[in-house]
Amino acid sequence: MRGRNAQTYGMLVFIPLLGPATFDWFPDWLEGAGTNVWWLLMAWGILAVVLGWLTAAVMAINRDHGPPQLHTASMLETMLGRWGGRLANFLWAFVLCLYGARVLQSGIELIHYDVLPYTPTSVLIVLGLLIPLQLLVGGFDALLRYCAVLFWPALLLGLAMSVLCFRRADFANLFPLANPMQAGQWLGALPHVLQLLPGWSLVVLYTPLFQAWLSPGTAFRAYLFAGGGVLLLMALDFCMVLANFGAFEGAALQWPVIEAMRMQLGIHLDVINLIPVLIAVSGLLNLCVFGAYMLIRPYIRMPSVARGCLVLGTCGSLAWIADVYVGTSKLYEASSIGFGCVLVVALSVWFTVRHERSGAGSLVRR
Amino acid sequence: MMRTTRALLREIHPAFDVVVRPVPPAHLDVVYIGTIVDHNRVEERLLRPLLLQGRRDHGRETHLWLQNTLELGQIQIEKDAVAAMCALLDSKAVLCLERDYVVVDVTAIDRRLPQEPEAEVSVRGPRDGFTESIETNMSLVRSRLRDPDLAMREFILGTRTRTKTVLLYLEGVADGEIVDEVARRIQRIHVDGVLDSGLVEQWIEDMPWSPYPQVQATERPDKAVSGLLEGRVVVLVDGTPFVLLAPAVMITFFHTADDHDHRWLSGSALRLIRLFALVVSIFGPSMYVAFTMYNPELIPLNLLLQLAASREGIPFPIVFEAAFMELMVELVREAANRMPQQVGQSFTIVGGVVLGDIAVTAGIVSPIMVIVVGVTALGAFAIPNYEAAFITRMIRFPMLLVTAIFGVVGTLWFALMVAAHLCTLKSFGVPYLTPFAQGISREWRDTFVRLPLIGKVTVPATYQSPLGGVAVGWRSRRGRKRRPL
Repeated sequence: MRGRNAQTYGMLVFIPLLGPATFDWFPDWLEGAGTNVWWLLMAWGILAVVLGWLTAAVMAINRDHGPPQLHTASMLETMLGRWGGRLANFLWAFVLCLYGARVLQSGIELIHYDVLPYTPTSVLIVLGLLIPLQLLVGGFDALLRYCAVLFWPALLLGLAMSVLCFRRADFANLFPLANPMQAGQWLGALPHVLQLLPGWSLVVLYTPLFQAWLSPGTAFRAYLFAGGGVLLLMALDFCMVLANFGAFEGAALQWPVIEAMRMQLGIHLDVINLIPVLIAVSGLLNLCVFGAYMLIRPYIRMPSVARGCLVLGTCGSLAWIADVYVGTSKLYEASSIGFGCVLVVALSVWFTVRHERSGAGSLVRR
Repeated sequence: MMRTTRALLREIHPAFDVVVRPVPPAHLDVVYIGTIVDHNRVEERLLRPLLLQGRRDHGRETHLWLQNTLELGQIQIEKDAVAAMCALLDSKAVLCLERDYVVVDVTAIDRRLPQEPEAEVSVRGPRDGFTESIETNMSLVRSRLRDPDLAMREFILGTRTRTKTVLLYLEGVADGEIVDEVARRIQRIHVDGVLDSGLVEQWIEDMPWSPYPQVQATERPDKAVSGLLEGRVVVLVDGTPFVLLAPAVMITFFHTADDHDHRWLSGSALRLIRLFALVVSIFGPSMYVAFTMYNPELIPLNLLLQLAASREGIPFPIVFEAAFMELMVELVREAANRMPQQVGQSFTIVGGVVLGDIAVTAGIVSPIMVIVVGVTALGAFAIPNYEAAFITRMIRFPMLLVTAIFGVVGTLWFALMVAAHLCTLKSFGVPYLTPFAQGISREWRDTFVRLPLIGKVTVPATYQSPLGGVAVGWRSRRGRKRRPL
């Protein structure tokens, strides 16, 4: 497949790693670390590199010793046995639905806040889910093409909007770069870095689909490029928010990036920013929905359209619940992070055991 | 009358133009359809030699004798009356001998000469276009592509029309899998009549439900040859000047034949203008509706005040205005298409100006809406391919509706829906959004802009089968020949 190459893999990694970061995570990070957010960002980067290495290492093991048509569902079955694997796959699919619902609900909140305050949530949920429904019919390659085609326009527009917000920014707000923090404060702030895990679990899910076309080394390099890009984009946006508002005010705002754009580019020009944000939301939602669909596909015997509708229905219902019961979305996020932690541990143990058994060489030589 | 003649006449319905000419000196009958043969050829080159020379008993040498006596090129021998009948319907003359038939070519060649294509005008480039004759079209291709690797597969489509269809490709350049797939789909066509390549296009495309064309139709031989050099397959159908190019990816519908004839800067500028035209024609009315109905704060204040003043007294909502004007434009365009050419052009201008002016005076639409719709229509007409321009114009209507309900979010959602649909589309296995869908920036040098032809002359791997695996990037066109000419 010409579409499955290092570039598209990089784009596929970029979307989940970035996740809803630029419009969702910032207040928490700023509240936790203030102007020390750069250290947090660095910790995020280190964690991303370690997890990327783990992904590539698992890919290397699978490539050498797994079946040729291996996918993540069968990988978990290999790790946990037939029934344990099935259970884990169903759980993972549900967690992906939770994460998708969380992302969808964030996007809808943003639309409500920005342009359509009175449009019913259920209508926006249905609209949001019609895009992944189309892509489910087209299969994984259609999904990949969707990511690849919209990647550069969204990224360039987002970057341009962010850069424009420095026009009248006060860079003195960035200081002090290293603010003395208590150990307790660090402990409180560091868990925010784990927001990377739900996105990373999507990377783990989709990586086996590339292993026939990419070597683990190439995949790791593409991962590093994508992760580096995400890190730079987040740094740029943090810089923009801090320069415009400072840490305290930035943490108090619900969507500091949007507010900075409103302030710098004139009232309501942030509508333009909806374009990259909604493309990012739709890309991430597609990945979650298709991932859940892929995980349950071997087990549920029904027409593919019905299976797709089952996943979309679950995701939509969860998003609706999150809208009705405030605070549920935080639960969704915590569940996704929790599952990500379990996945990290499971993959690390499995890799260690397999590596010792097979005596596989280092990743560098591949 | 010979026994074979009677058998042949049983196969065809009696008609005034079926001519049976017994030639006693040659002991044979000549049968042909008078309305589709060249009478001069029949009289001078077929009947006269037969009548003058007569026929001695040549036994097994009869066919050789006929070949040498008649000045009509290669003869064809048929044993079967049905095959002879098919040749008869194909403008040939049939010589009925004692045991078999001899078919000779007496086709009337009074077809239209190649003229400049009306649907694909070129500023700088060749002026000839395909005609309705498949032989002429073949000659137009062959005269440009003097390559022994030019391969051809012939099909007869339509059980009643028996339309000759030819599939052309460059052996060694076109992807074998794609060629076989096109041939397989053409062979699968079982209909009674094929009158135009448009029907073949609809039978062989990947997703018939999609509004987007998945095969490219062209009237220009230079475009067809360019497609062959890029590894595409050309389908010629007898009776139509439109030939088909497959696979077709979206970007090719926005390229013209003379893009490469201009210098790179001019060519790139023209392509960017077309891109702008595409964006304006798709999003123009929707964005106007979204900004004025939902986000007036995005419009500069002075302009907003003018807009408000110009809309004063208009009883309809903006979305109605936009839909009304768009429908009027489509009406004028369609009416102009169906009128005689001279009247049509005047009607388009008069209809557009008068209708717009009267609509503004009557207070149905605002003057700014006329400008928006006019610019949008211009944008659509700047798109070089008719099918692509048509679908671009049509998707404005649902987009307008969604925008009227959801504002900018509706426009964006609809655009993403279209993008998702395009991502699922393929043309003979090649993704419709190639080369953007693969994320390989090396292949983008001949898309929205055209970079200079520096260094190697290359051909994109766009039209390679996606299953090939190695076909990434650009291949050198130099040295591709397996043997020197």
